[in-house]
Amino acid sequence: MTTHSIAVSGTATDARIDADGGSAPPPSPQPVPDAGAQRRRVRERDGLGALRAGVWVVLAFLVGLPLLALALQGIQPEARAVFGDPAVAEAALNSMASATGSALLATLAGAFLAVVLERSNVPSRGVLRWLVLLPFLIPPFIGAMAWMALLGANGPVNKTLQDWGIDAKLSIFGGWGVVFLLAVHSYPMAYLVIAAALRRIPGNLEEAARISGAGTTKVLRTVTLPLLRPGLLAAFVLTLVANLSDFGIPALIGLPERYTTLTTLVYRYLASSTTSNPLPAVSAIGLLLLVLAVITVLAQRKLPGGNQVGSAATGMKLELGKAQIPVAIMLWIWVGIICLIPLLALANQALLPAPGIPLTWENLTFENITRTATSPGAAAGIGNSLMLAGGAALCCTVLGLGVALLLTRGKHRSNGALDVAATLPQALPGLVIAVGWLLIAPTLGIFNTGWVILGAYVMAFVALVVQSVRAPLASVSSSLEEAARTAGATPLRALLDVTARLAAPAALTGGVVVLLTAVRELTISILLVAPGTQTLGVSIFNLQQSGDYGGASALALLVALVGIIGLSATAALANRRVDK
Amino acid sequence: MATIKMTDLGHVYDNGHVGLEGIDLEVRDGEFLALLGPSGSGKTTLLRTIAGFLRPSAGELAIGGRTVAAADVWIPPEKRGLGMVFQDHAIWPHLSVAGNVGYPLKLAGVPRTQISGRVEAVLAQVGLTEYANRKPSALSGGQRQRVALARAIVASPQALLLDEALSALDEPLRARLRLELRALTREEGLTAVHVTHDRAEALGLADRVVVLNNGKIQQVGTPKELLEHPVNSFVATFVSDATLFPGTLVDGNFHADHPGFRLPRTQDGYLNHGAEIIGTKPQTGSRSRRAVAAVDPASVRLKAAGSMDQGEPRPGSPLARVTSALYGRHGYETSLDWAGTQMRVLVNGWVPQEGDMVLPMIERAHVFSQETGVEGKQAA
Amino acid sequence: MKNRLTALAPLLLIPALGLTACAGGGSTGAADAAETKTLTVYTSEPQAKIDQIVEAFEKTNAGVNVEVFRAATGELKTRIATEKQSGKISADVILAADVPTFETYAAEGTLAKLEIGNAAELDKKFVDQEGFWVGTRIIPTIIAYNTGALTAGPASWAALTEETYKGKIAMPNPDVSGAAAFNTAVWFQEAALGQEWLEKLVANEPTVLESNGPVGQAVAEGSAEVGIVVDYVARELAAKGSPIAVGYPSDGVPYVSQPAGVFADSVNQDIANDFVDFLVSKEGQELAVAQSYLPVREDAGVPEGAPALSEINLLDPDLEKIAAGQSEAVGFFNSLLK
Repeated sequence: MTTHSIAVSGTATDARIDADGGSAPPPSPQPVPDAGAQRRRVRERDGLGALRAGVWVVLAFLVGLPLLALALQGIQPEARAVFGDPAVAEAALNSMASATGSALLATLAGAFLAVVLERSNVPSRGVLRWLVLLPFLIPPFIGAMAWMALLGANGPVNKTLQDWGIDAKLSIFGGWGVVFLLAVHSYPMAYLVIAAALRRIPGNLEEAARISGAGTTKVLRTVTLPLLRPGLLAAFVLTLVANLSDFGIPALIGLPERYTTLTTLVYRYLASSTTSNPLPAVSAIGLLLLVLAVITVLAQRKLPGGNQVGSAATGMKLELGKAQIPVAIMLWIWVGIICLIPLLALANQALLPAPGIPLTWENLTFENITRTATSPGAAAGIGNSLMLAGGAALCCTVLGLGVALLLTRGKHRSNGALDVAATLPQALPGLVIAVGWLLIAPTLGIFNTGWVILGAYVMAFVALVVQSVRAPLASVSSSLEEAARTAGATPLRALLDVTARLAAPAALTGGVVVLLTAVRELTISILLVAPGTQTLGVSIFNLQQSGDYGGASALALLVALVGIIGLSATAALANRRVDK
Repeated sequence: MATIKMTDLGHVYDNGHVGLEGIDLEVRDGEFLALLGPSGSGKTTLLRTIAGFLRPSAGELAIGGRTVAAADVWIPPEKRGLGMVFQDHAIWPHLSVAGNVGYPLKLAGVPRTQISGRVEAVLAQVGLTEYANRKPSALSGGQRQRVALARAIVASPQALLLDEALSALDEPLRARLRLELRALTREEGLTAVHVTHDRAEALGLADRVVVLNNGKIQQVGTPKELLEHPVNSFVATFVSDATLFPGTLVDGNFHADHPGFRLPRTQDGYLNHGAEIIGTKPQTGSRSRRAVAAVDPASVRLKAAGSMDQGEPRPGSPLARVTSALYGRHGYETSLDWAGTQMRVLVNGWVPQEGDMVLPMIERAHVFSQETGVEGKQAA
Repeated sequence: MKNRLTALAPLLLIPALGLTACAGGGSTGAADAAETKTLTVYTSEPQAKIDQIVEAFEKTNAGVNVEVFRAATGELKTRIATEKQSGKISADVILAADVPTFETYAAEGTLAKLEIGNAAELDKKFVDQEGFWVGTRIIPTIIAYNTGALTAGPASWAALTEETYKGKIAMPNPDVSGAAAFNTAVWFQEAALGQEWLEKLVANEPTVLESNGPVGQAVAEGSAEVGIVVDYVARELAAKGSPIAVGYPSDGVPYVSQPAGVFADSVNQDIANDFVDFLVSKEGQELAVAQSYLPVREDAGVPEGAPALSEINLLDPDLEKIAAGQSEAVGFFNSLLK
């Protein structure tokens, strides 16, 4: 029935195109996959429809196809059988618990940092604002390696404690370690979201409370925090989803204590030969994660937005008074423990010739760094990653710009779906994306090639560009485009000449973020990697797994440093542009 | 209610920009004072300094006889007992109307039972009784501003601060609220400081108007004083849209550089009839000095070029061309190009057409000797 | 109309740009294929080691470009299974794992028959009688210990279950490590050890790390005092200065011979065969020795710090039985962990 009606509308569309004297009509009344889009294109007759159709086709291929394959495979009865496995139930429970716990911790930490660093007069907050973001700039699996180095049974912390006569035997392994590390790596995101929400709160709402007789803490409690609630919720949901998808931390920190999460379970299914054909089972788990992510994303879209129109008045300054120094000391300890010392531990591992050798000046060597940086394996990894990440950045920039333009400028009933299609993958565990592409790769004939990884990267990261472009675009008055329209431009022309030009810098920034994220990617690459397409993340993981911690740390340290410098520079440039 | 006394108040922003300088001002008990000036003049800075959101870098500030800001004194805004209405109302979206209005009372420790009574009374005063339990998002712009006003006066503040309180509203509503505001402050005997860039609003509402420019007070006076006796060319142009004619003051007589500028002569030939010379009067015989004449639009009569055969002969006087004429409440607001000088004139009784050639007849002018400071007393 | 097309050009460029971006990442172009032949090797050798082997092989075989895909044995097996399902195995050579896996592959027809010129120089037990695989290095699994924490390690598997080692043992995961899976089967079937010993071992709460590398690492840095690990990992760390020592258990040392074979699907059978032959040649074996491996031929010497083969009590179980019982043994071990 449905097919029939689609065919009919498709014919009608073709006829009208013909009458219009436009592009040549397809000769036969074949069913058109997206007949609705075609009909709209004709109605608009302005090129915008063509852009929309183009974007939809690309998204249908990049996002729809892998997820469809996953869903079809995952609902097979043999696939569903996996849910009878108690190991799956336990992993699901662990996933939910670790993600919820860490998201809660991250949100609390993020809120505290946002208030203190954005509003208070704590000394050195400029430096601190940047330093607290460090865990965000380091890939989680590299962070996990750093903490393993730091909290090893014979690592610097336990050794020092032992020297002081405390046999604490601190260990990072296990469920608590996973929760802690997930929180460490996601709190910067929570901080950024909450700080942005905090800046959006009009300063005069707080001033009105001051003049009504409320002191600063009272204002915080009765006005600021209630107004911040949507921001806090958004931060919680974002970190929850991100932590649900993480692979590196549970793999390195959870598995040794047999703390399995869904992501590591999927990996285990795929990487160990115990199951003859792991794809159905993995698809079923992927489908479960997909459903979870969709629910979360839809729920978040229902949340009241925190986008009040802010006044020029800056937010209330939180005078810390006598607490200034203690708070500063606390923050520096925080930064030291959470952000700096793990990096030093990583450096320590990278600079020692072998584990267990005492740390002295004479023992330090650059041998690991030079050896790995020049080894063919690492060189191939770096080359492949640069190529793939560059390609992904390029595709994401163009596609993301197109999506963002359609979302912010066209009022169209397909916009809701477009929004979900473009941003949903960000909420999906990398493993789900990877499995989707694993399923469609043989059919597309791109199995075991770099194309699979590229496709998965674009799918996973296009949302980064969409988000980066969307906010600045939304603030561009539509009258600029209307002015172009009255000057004689078609809607598409006006969109491309005015709005797209204005959005280009933001899209570029988004593209650079994609580049820097994809170049360090592990979760997707490790499942899609094939001979000749080994990526940098996989190289590091391989070194680590084959016991070359020194080499792995050396490469990881380089990646972390490049990431920190690259992302900081991008952020600084983007900020400067905003300030202008 | 209380007085607000500012002594040599100054404020320098972190970036070195001087926000306020040498402000000496006393707001009298129960007085409605308007702070008027172009944007960047320091009027909002001054209001925020009074509120306590900015700490002055010099001088003293006392409210109701209590010093709230000085070199070694600092009372934060919440302890100053003030009420304030913000430009975009700043109504808390997470509280109901009654919650917003009752908030200052709650903080003041007023018992819950009394709060509801007082809130009800104030809401009645602003005409929002039935909206007490609504959320602010359900209110119109005017209603929100009334809530803000109610919130500002509910705790009987020492003074009411209004920061462009009416600027965000549409014109008819704004006029109505203006009246309501005036009535309310009279009724309550409130000391009010009102920041506005709207001249008509300042002149219409205030007992006294303070004109600010570049962080300094230009003139303090009643609306009538500002219009009739501006103390400098800035006040004359900003308050009355006066056109400025630079010239020279010789022996108490003003000679404009402009070839057409003439002041009416008296029978005895005294050149500057109708000119109010402001600033120290040059002693007779002393050297000439530069000065500026300000001519407000209502002090000019236009003669059509055709009717020039009789009356005063004006040899060498250039004609002015009408560049635009807009109909307004008080007549045609006419712009002229008079030998390169753009001039504004208010025309009554006939309809100037664009392109008409006319002869401006200046009836009155304020002449400001440029050596005079702001404090200069007017002389005539 | 023309304007519209110009405006759409950027969108059309997406796939094109992607293509260019990826061209270098994928397989070699058609032009190259004429001059050089690409040999793909699936291996679980550590990256640095396989890099050296490839370098040595390419030196003597001009025009051959060897591409390596390194992963843990378990992963390789999954990959091979998946590729078999989707049609064709994309590698030529496999150098990994244990004999039972190769026996299975040989039975399934996945492997091609080899012609090993060096076969005569090798001990018979390292060469498949049917000619599908050849062992390339002897990798015994031993007990390593941290010399900072202990003066002497447990001398036997039996000693490992003593109370003193509770919570201090690290071992590789048999789901991931081929050698570990093999060992588990050997322990499971060895009369002196068997199920009971495995139960006691797990009761001693070992930390199950992913593979041998991390185990050696854990012992070297002291986060585990004792480790069940392949010997070369431990000896290499010791050579670099880590406080780690090796003990060959008196009650028998299980070993894998890291077999190599050629896939039947390979289009480069000759070169693939040459590569495998090179691995067991004198040069290849001397390289193995230099890489701390115990060689499969006697004329290649012994790595520094390693005992001669004759000094080790190597366990030589019936490989067919091991092959048959491996998944049962691993399953039993996993069930103990829960």
